Amino acid sequence: MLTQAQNDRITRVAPGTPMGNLMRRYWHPVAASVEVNEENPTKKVRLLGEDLVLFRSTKGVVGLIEPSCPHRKANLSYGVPEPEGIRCAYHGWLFDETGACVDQPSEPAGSRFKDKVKIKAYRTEEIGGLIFAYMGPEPAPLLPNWDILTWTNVTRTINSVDMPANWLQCMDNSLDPVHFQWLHRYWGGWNIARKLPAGEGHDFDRATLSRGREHVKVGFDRFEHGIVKRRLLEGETEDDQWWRIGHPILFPNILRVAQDRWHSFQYRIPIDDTHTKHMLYTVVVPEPGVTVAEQEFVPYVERELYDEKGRLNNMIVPAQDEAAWVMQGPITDRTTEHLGVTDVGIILFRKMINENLQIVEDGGEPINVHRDPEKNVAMMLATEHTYYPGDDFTGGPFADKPLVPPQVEASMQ
Amino acid sequence: MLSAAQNERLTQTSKGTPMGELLRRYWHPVAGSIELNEENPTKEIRLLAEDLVLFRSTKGVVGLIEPSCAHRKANLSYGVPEPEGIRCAYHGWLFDETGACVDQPSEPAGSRFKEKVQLKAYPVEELGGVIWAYLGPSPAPVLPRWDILTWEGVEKFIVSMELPCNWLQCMDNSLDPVHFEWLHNYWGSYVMGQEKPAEEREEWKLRMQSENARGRHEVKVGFDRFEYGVIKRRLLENDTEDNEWWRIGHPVLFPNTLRVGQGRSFSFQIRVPMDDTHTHHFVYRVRVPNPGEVLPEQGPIRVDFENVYKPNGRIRADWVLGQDQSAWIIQGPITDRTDEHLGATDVGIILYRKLINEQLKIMEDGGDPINVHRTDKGPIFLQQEHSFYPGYTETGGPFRDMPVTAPDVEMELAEKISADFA
Repeated sequence: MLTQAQNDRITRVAPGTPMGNLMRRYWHPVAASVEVNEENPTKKVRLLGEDLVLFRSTKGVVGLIEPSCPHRKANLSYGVPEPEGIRCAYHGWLFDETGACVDQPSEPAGSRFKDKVKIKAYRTEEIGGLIFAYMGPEPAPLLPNWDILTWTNVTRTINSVDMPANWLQCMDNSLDPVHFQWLHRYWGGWNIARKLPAGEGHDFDRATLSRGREHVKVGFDRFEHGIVKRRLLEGETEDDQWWRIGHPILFPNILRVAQDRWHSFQYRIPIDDTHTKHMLYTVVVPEPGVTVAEQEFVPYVERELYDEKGRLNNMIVPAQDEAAWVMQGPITDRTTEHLGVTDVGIILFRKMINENLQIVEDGGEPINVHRDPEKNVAMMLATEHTYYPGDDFTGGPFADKPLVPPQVEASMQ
Repeated sequence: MLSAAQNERLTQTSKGTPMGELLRRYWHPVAGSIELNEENPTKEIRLLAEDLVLFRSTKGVVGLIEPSCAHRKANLSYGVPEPEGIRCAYHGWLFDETGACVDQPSEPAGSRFKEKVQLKAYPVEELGGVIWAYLGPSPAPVLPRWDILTWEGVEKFIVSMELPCNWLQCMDNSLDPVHFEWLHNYWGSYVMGQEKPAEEREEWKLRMQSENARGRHEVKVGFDRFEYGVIKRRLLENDTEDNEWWRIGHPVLFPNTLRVGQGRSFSFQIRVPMDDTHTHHFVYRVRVPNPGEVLPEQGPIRVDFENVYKPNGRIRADWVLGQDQSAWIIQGPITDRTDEHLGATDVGIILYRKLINEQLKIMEDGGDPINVHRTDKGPIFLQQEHSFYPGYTETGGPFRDMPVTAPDVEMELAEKISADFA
């Protein structure tokens, strides 16, 4: 249970707020690369409580600038892309990706008025089919080259949904392994069983609570990029990869989750205090020896949050998670929550946020900010029971990871 | 005309406000019983500025509890019904109808954490196919068993609408008989004419311009206090005082219900305050069969959800109730009574405000306000003029022999306005 001030401190992301400052130390995906193209050269975006316009020039350069033309404030998302940037619809002022005004066609020849005009602009970079933005202080850190963003001979897809919920609710969920039995097995099963004809549904059984294998214990370790989450399920030994390897949460707002031949990132991108874009980035690894067709572009779709009755969709696992976050309210009232034994990971993550807020306030560099180009190459992340490129065994480079006790654990027994 | 403070005192609905507390002394309908079923075992409710979740367990027990699970605040309207209550979607905490947490499946065996967890819960009762809730102080009063709720062998249904306005505007309307001539006859004809095909509009225009455009005029209106609220009476031109319109009338039940009907139709219009600026209009309708007619056994009482707005965003006014609702909505979210100008025909409204203020005072002095029931008196009959009660062959039913009396408050209306607008 937190005070209102504590809850505000770790959830709110507008410019100048503590968490807003911390969030601005990281690169965030702002769109899929295919979202700005010849047909749709601009996109209105809202990120960390700031309204912005993303555009791609006809030369292919991406820019992220403040939305209103400084002349008479027309929205540049209606602008025309040109080789040098985006030209305002109203009187043709032209802005490049640095926010500089490079043409004011109706001013007298020789006028230097345009040199006095500058709009806010943020750095962007593209990797793996995503456009990332950096909105923090200079010098900007490196855009992290995580393994799955850089792998070749894989198949990628991206989807997203915008939700009326604060980003931290998503992270609470990722630090809480036990919800799997309830939200996904029991509740998800109940919903699916109600919607599909008998025999085609989930094997939902109210009497047994239909919640799959019990958690025996959960464990958490801090590591250089965030937290590794581990679980021991009934019937397994500690040598099982669920416990021995686990999978990571990248500070501050990414879950890496994987199974068999697919790996994914779940980016929880703060739109503002009460809205989050949930972007799922999925990479499928072929069997060893198989070569897949090279993708011309990474496909992207937007998903629907609500069904035709206005209720939260819940027929697939990510939708069930999203439903939980939305049903916790725009910003969960943590002044009246009751954390139990299974919420130990959530408490650890809040501690980590508070430590890093303090580091930033003291002028330091928070965790998981990258500056060394030599280390920033296809950084591998451990995920249990998962095939890595070229391997015919699970765990990849982490397969032989020794069994160690977690730094924090909770027993459900 | 009221001061801003007086207007707030009469209209506010939140806990802790004078009117919010007074409204909490009464049972309010929150849903038709049929609304909670296997497919939809929960319903999100907003009542008296509180967000709540209504649910029915698989044993059939109904609960009304605060909406957020005590654990990590997920909304329980998405929960799964079980024999003992409603189980949260997120981690399976189980709550019963008293708000007690009766299972926390992921806590270690033997943990007593659940005993420290309690959600707010309110008493509910089902009567006449309606789920009623009480949000006030204990002990809860008796849920009044009004006549039409208990009748059998009749046809019943519920109409449910959500209005973006304060509840008191609906009550003002019920204390104001004269609006009938204007809102329903005159404006109603205009609106309905506007919606007719072009070739029929001329006929509607003529109808509006005729001498009968406003129907029969009211010669006087009268009001009596009675034990459950106010009786409203009207004398129409060409009628004598012996007419049931004047002699019997029909009641406004304190604080927020109109009883109205005619012939074989009886209804309650219950103006349930959702919050200061929204009202759930819950209309309970009963049709008494014609002599000799035997209705088939009625199943569960149905609920018709009516949209207040047309697809073009204008308020639906092609039926009498839609015209009333239009009036309430066009008076604004909370009518600015600091700037109103009450006329002679608004005497009933003034009486009702006086009644409210008296009841506020009674409550503040620790008493039970009017129309709070502490004993079950059995079905309570309410008077409704020109209506056929079950078992009676003439109108007025048990009230048919009521003598003519002078009302407590009455107002002679101006001679009918000459038809200059013809």
